[in-house]
Amino acid sequence: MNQTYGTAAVLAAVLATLVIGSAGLRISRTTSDFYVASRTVPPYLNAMAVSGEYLSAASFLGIAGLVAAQGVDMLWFPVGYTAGYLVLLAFVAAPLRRSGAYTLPDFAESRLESTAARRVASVLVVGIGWLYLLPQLQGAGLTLGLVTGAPRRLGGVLVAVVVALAVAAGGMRSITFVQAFQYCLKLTALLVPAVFLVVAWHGDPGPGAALEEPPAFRRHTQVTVDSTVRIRLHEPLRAVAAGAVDGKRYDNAALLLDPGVHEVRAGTRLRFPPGAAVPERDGGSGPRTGASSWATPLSGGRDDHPLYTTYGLIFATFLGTMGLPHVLVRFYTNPDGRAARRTTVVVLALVGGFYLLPPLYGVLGRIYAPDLLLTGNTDAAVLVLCERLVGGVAGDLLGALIAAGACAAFLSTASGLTLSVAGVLSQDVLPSLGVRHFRLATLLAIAVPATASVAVSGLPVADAVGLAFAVAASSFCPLLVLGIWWRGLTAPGAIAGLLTGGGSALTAVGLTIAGPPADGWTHTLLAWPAVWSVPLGFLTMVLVSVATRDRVPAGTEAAMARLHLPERPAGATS
Amino acid sequence: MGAPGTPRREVVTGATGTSRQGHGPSGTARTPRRGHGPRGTARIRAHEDPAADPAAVRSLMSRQLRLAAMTSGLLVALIGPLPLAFRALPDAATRPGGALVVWAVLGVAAYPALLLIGRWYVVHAERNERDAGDPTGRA
Repeated sequence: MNQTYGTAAVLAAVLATLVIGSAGLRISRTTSDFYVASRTVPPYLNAMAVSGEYLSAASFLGIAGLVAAQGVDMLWFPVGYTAGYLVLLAFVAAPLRRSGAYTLPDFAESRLESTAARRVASVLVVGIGWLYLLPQLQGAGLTLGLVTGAPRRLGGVLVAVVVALAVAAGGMRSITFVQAFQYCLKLTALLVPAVFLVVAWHGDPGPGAALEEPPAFRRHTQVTVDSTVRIRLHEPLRAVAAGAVDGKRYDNAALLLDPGVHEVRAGTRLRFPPGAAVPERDGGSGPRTGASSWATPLSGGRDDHPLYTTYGLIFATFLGTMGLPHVLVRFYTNPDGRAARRTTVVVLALVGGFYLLPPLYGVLGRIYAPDLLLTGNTDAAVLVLCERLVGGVAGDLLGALIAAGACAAFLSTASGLTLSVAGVLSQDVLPSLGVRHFRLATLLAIAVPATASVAVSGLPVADAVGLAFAVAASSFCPLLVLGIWWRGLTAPGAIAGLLTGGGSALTAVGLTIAGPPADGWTHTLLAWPAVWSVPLGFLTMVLVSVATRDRVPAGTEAAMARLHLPERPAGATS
Repeated sequence: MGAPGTPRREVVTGATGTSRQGHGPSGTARTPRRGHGPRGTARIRAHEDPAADPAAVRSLMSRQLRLAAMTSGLLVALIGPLPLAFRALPDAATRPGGALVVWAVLGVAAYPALLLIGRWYVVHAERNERDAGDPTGRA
């Protein structure tokens, strides 16, 4: 990777973000400008902003990495990420906009007339937001390190600073423009290189063969193993090694390994002849196979019960999208409920169109960057392909474009999350001080995950992405669906459901990450909680609400009219 | 926006008389109106006393909920059997091409399908709301 071009591209992306953000500063003056862009964002712009915010690095880099490592079954991820918007459209989009609230806690309070419900929702929003921010910042460090050669921690801090500046400067108004710009950048950054890559590839070898046959090195390839790895061989392997394999030292000596599991020490250099099969990484004891760090909890344990885990993935992503606070807050920026629906349909088109591209990078990564499968760094596949396949100055320039897109991916998702967390913090946690105080909340919103990402850089925090999806699906999905469609929901019911659903999902994934290793069904059920924790959340909400029937909020009828009747002032002031 | 006319600015206020007044009369919303005055006033009257015609709200809600259920039913019918179908694909070793089928379905065909379902939903949801405008107009 050419570091000069890469650095220039990343700086350009950051600069553009700040310039567009500060242009927004001149426009945004009042509190409502800050939070919801005065609700005058037209559907197409808003849809671009929603998509720009939604397509995080997990989409930009992670999906291609997953396809490269594990094949096309991984395409369930982008399908789930997109279909989540269809569910959101059908059940939530228009009524949520008509609720007239700024944030999820606002919705909880105005619908249920309970400050306690508001507080629980606030805690969940901040929790989910931080969980989602952490891997974004860590991924940023990783990518920036690869692209510019900067130390890993610096990248995360850099992204945190840029995001804090952009959000604190202009709030949602500037973020709307920033996000829309970043969607365009991300799409361009995958689309233009894809054309060159396809020309360079011209179908040799065919995609079917690439996906179905075990990956092999196409020419002499030297791989340096960064961290100690266990490899599983199905046939004898010949290579030249410099380092330690199975505890024996090699000094540029020929190495012949029999089929079975072998350990390659960190720092070992292996040189493979053309045609050699790529050794398979052995997952060992943990659930993580190291295939791709982005979606490990979602892909963990796939081998045990693939059908259950596929449905678990479908459940978590279809329903989790609706519960992500940074996605929901964007719906308040629509002029009205009808526009909110139209926005969502445009989002379906924009997000779906984007997701046509990553699988191509995944397949090409499998053919032309098989060494990443051995080092486990498959998320880098998108970043290295241009250099390998196109080469020369053109390759470097295209690589730089992709780096800028990846940078946009981190920035957009991180700023959206920061904005929604800061909104909740400034309204519910810190005392009311007006706009200046929103800036304080922004600092707090990004400082906590940034500190954590520096402090725990060794931990597999990417697990937090899947955790955030599962927690959102099991807490906010029931709250929104029941709150919008069921008159019987009470505050105690909602609180119980939020705590039970969200809490059990949190516990389950927490146990998967940090708990004792489990096997078989126990492990699978814990690693993929959404299948049971979402119904649990719904059931608790319904049962407790029925038990506390006498506490149905007095304004329920009025709230229902407000949520469902079209084109009317959102708040009943009488 | 069907025949939007000149958008009128209206004040959007917070929730119904609850404690959160900090952000008071905050945003403004453009409310596209289809011309006729009587309809607008009727809507505002319904809004001043939202419980005035709960029957209309109920019928609109149940129609919208049915539509949402149909939409998600369509989604489930379309997506739900796919994991099972993919498992039934012949083994790559005996008959290659399975991966390409999965790519074509999940990587390409799924997105236009989702878009079409979404479009279909919006058309019907807006039709439901237009129909609901009439009983409100009676008030």
